[in-house]
Amino acid sequence: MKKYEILEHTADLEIKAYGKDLKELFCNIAEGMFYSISPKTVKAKMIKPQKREKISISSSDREALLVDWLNELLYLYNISRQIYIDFKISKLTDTELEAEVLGVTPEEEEVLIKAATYHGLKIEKKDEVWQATVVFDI
Amino acid sequence: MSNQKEITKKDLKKIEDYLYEIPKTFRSDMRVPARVYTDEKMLDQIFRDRSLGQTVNVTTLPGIVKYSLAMPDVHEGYGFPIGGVAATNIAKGGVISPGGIGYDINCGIRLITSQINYDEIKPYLEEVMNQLYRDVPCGVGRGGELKLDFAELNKVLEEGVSWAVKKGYATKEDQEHTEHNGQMLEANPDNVSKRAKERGRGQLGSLGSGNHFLEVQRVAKIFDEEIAKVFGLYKDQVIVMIHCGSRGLGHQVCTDYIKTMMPALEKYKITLPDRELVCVPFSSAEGKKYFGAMAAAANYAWTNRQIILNTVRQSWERVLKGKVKDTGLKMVYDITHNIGKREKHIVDGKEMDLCVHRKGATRAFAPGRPEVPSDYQKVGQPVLIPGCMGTSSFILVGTEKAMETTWGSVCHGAGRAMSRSAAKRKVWGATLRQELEKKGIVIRCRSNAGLAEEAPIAYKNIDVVVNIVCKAGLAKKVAQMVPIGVVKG
Repeated sequence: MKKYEILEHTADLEIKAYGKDLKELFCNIAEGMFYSISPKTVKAKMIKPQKREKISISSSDREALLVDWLNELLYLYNISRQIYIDFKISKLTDTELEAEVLGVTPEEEEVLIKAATYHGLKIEKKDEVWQATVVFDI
Repeated sequence: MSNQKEITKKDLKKIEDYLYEIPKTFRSDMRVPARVYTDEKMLDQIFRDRSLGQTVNVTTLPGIVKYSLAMPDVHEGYGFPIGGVAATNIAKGGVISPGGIGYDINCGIRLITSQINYDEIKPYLEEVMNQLYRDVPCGVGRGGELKLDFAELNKVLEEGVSWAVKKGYATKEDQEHTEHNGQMLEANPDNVSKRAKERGRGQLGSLGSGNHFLEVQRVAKIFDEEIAKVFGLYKDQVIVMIHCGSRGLGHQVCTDYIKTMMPALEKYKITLPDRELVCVPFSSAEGKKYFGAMAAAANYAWTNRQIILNTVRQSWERVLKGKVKDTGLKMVYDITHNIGKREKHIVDGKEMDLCVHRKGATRAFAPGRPEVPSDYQKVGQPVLIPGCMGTSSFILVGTEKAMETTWGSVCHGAGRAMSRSAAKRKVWGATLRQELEKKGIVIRCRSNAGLAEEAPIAYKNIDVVVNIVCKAGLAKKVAQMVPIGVVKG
């Protein structure tokens, strides 16, 4: 199973991610986002993680939680200039998420992502695989 | 999106040359029709993405007046299309939608004239571009030279370019030639989160990345001598164009308010076809709070472009002093193309208090409007339309017809026609660089891949886009410029 794929979008960045469960889906789409920002850093996973962050979010529903998760990671990236390469989600309900993420100093950043949007967002299960497509403003 | 009806050419009714309408009957949730300014050929291009569906979605906003509009540069965005314009009636519960303004609040264009012509700068052009590339911070993750504490940042958010004037970064003339005088008085720094301030405090005076740029251009053609003279433009003159916005601060303001507005949809009984259109009544407590934060981010963006101008002036002086007769740089105008404004317009013969959303659209006010600077009163507001890299940019002026039909708005650029990845597959950055350099354009940018993403092939033809708005009577051409130097983030 593919973790994620980058789709064609006229102006912005559209990532479709997959997962055997929701936790995996949330992690894979986050990886796809950081891969888009800095492919070199995400590929070179051997770099010793330098920064550990704890994340705790509550949102109105599952879709909002996914958008908030990605925007939380973008905020952390913008403040700390760390590319997050490892995500451990310890709690995930429809409205709450708790996670620990590991960041590294980026090798080279290619794309400036402004935010994750709600546009057309739907989290669904197809053939036993969870999937979601997120449009990012770049 | 999946529940939305597919639009075909048969659903479009021609209203007049260059104007088409999707009637209100197309979908049951439409409150008004959707209109698009385009021509037959460009319409085919528009149908290639979901921009018309998004224009229809905008018609469902509570309080929307007359129609939702798409300009000829329209392309798919999120929520609103890019190139979208919509006005809501404030007195009748009209809404404000952060997604209808965008994450890059007050992304805009600034145009500055030098006092020298192309032949004079030619021997020093490479040197000038090197200096600009060194001095103006650009690219992902690069902030500016100024690191403000929170108290000082609050002053920027509240005062905008007035702060820059006090600090010596701007002249009075710079400020007078900035849309809204570079300061929206509704700004409230207290409505901007600590997170947004953290992201923005070290980025003032930086370009950012993506399609943002700093170009040195040559005036290639004057269409209207009289108006050009008022703007201080002449053929072969060297000018500078800056394109950027409110950086991380604006992005965070939009993110924050989209999150906090979501629960309010239920409170105000608003149903939307796309959650990215989330909105609240302009006059509600939530609406006022967002507008105060948006205005603060707008003030930040104007100040950002002003600080960049200040840096450009220093670089210009450093390279050209003693080599050319005059190293002065004068502001023609600074416009925003991602904003929500409270404006008065005539609707069916009556003055109405509107919230006008311009998402990838430029204000184009006609002569006589009080918002137009005093020295431009007789000719109208300069409308700055950048082309894509390597192609022409235009200066237009607003018309009375634009006031009557589009809330004084026109297009904002060429508009993308191809995804960034498709552009990279089609164009080699290194080849593109060579081609542009052969044309005499000096390119300074971080990577060839980044260059390929912004290749002219990825955009609509700017000449066609500008011709449509002009033939539709929404604006009048004043001058055309071509690039001679590009700095890209």
